[in-house]
Amino acid sequence: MAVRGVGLGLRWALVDDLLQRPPPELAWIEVAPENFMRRGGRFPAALAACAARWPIVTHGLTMSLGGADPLSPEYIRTLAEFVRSVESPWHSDHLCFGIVDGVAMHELLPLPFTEQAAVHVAARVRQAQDALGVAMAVENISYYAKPGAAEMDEAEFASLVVEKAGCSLLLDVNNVYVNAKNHGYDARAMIAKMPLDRVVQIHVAGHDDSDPELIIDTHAEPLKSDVYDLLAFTLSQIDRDIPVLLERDDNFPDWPELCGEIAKLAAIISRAPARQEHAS
Amino acid sequence: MSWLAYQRRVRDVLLAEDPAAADIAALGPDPARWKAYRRLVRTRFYRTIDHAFERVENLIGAEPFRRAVDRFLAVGRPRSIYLRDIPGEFLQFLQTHWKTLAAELALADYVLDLARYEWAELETAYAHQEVPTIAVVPLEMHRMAVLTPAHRLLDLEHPVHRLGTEQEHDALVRGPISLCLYRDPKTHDIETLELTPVAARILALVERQKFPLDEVVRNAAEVAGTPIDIAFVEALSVLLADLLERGVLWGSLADTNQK
Repeated sequence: MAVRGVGLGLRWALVDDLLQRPPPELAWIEVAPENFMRRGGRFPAALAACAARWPIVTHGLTMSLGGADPLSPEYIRTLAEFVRSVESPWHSDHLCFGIVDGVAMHELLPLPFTEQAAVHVAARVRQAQDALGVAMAVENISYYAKPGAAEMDEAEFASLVVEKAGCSLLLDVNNVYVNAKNHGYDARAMIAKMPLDRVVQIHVAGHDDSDPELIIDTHAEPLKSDVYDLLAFTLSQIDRDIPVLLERDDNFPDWPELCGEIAKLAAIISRAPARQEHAS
Repeated sequence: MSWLAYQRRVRDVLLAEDPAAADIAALGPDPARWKAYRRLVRTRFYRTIDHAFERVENLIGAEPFRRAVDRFLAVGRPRSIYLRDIPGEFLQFLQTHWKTLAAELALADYVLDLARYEWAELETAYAHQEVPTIAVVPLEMHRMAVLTPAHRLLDLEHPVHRLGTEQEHDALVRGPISLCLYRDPKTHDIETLELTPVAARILALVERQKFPLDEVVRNAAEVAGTPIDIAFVEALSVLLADLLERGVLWGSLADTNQK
């Protein structure tokens, strides 16, 4: 089954509604393998029910691509089995570090935008890609602080990584928005500069802007209109039909409200130039 | 500072109980933003561990519990890449440093029992391997018995599993008890069985996967000083039938090399 249109991140709090009242526009599901690997009981049962209905795409949380610890062979082996079992067309993880000397921070911590860091990450992406036996995509994160002096901007860094790794980009539009606000640059210009020819998937989510000094990428708020607009702009820059995922991880709204967001995203995708050309 | 040294400093700032301002400032020009990272990281761990040990936290109070978690983050440090495993690492830390923490936070011994019980419930719920990956045949006394992986055996000094039930009046009174927690294969709910000393010994030996069931039973009876008479055999039969029905016992290992 091809992955296109709107997807939703599978969260335990959403499973019952998802299976009993699936929104008609929903076309695929994204799962974080770490939430399902080595786990029995209710979770694999729910995953199997979803997999019978929708294509599944995997999106990892803990590969720590920018870290110095070697990739865990046990993790990679288990991940490869999982990715194969759900027939994910690609696997993604983040441009960040999260594990240091075996200590897992469970946070997406920022990388310096330097050539050295890009080379390091790219080598690990290639290594993971070979071990997993499936194409990898890397995701731009929300970063709140800059670790050291940058040699390039975020788009140049992402471009260098995907070029050197030979991988794809999972473009998180909300993260670009959050970073643009927090670091004072133009989100559209940054999107346009990203390696859009390598984008295989898009993420959108809500953020917390209650503190104007620092917007936090929470995945726990409704999508803001600015992010819908930035998504429409992004799709206007890409000549392919790119699947878009809604991430909602906390502070879950009523199901109809979430379905409304999915419908709105589907409408934006349907108006994208790639869809319009396909339709004409 | 090398990239690795920088990462280590970030880690230390995020997990320390009270990082020095100089250490935060060393990360870059905007300490407030590194403090934001610290809040994000710690909030995620707090929520995960609080959720796992809700009853412990209610019993001892939020502030002492938070101090124990802070100590774990700073000293024990989270290691698993699976966030759901971190409460288990916290419990290990509690057990290792129990004397110090209990004295410092004025914790009674039953707190540790309750923490072990709460984690056993979660661990049983998470246990993987749904179907046997080994050949299992119907239960036979001369073969090794096989337990579902979705079980945990616990020996506690207090019957803390009775908290919140009609028998909770003695839940915190010292009284050794053996439990078997298991996940119902149909509903996935976690159930708790109170075990007699003989049943506890039988299940503990079965879990070790070293002896056939008949030897296990003989050993358990001998240790308990119980003769293997008709009453014993009848009780054993009821126990095994019950465990099979509940899905705690899967059957016997189909190993022809067993005697």
